[in-house]
Amino acid sequence: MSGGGRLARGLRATAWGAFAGALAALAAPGAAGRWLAGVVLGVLVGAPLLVLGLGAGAWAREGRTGLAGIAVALLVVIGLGGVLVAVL
Amino acid sequence: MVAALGFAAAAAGVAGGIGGSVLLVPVLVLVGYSPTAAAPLGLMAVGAGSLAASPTLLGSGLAHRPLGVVVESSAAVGAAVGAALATRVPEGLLIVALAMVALIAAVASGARRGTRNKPDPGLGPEHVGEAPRGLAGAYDSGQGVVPYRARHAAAGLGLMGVVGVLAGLTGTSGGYLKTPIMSEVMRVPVKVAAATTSLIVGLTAASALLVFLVQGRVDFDLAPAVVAGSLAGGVVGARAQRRLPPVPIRRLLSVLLVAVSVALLVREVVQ
Repeated sequence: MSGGGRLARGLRATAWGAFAGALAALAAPGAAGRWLAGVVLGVLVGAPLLVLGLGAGAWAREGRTGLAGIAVALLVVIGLGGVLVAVL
Repeated sequence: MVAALGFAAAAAGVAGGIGGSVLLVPVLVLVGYSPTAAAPLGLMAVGAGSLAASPTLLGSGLAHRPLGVVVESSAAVGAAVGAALATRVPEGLLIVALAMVALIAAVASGARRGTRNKPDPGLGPEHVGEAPRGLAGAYDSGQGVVPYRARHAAAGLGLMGVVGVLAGLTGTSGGYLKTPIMSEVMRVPVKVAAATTSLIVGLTAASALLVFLVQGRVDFDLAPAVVAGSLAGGVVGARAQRRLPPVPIRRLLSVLLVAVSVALLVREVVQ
């Protein structure tokens, strides 16, 4: 897939960043540690959603509109889940 | 201790393509954590393992992103239905049913001999990866480049929807059923199925973690240890998955599925 190598490198850097953040959260006392843990969890949630979004964009540019549409619909379903829980 | 448990769950989960929370959560419950606290920790292990494994799985051309997206879309709709029905079905009954399904999948994976997809001598390393169109591609088996195409898409996606319903009802990722369905029903090579599941369970974990974060059910004191251990486990699991031939991967999957069914039954008895 086009851009697959770049994506793999980006994900590797993200994983190392999350690992460093988790170690820093373990070392940091109290509220600072919990704040860092929140950032790490934000990365865990955000990274796969970003990968899906990037995939949707790439597939749309390649003319694979059906696949891009499925990816966008999946993002909407996941986002709606979080919003509905927050509202209800 | 939770870091070591996260490491083991993520390594086994990624190598076998089953996610890992279904192994970790029962163990956490057995050592004294409440199921309410254990569920988010299990999903953190799945998400971290998937993130750490993704570069290896994508870089080696094993994971098939379009297949993962299509499969996950069906499972996500099912999960929404399952979550809506969650309060109407006795959980104990579901857990036992899940254990039985895992056992059937273990037998289906373990009983088959040999490999279904054979290397094509006409293909080289440049053909490894996803095909430009359709749910097809090729992967390097170690003995040559093996072409594949997902078959029985309607049956596979229908079953993924059912898996989604079960996952939504029970609060698991359902990864341990996605790999056998892709491999045994859709006829995708088990290494590709396991790698694709390991990639997409990151998405499943992200959506569920988002809900847990909004609900305030996440333990920020335990999270860093689980995440650090699971990130390391994900790297180890992905390397094992890339290097092992298909038959040992299928055997590993079969053993893990038996472990999953036992873990589910133990969880049910302990609760």
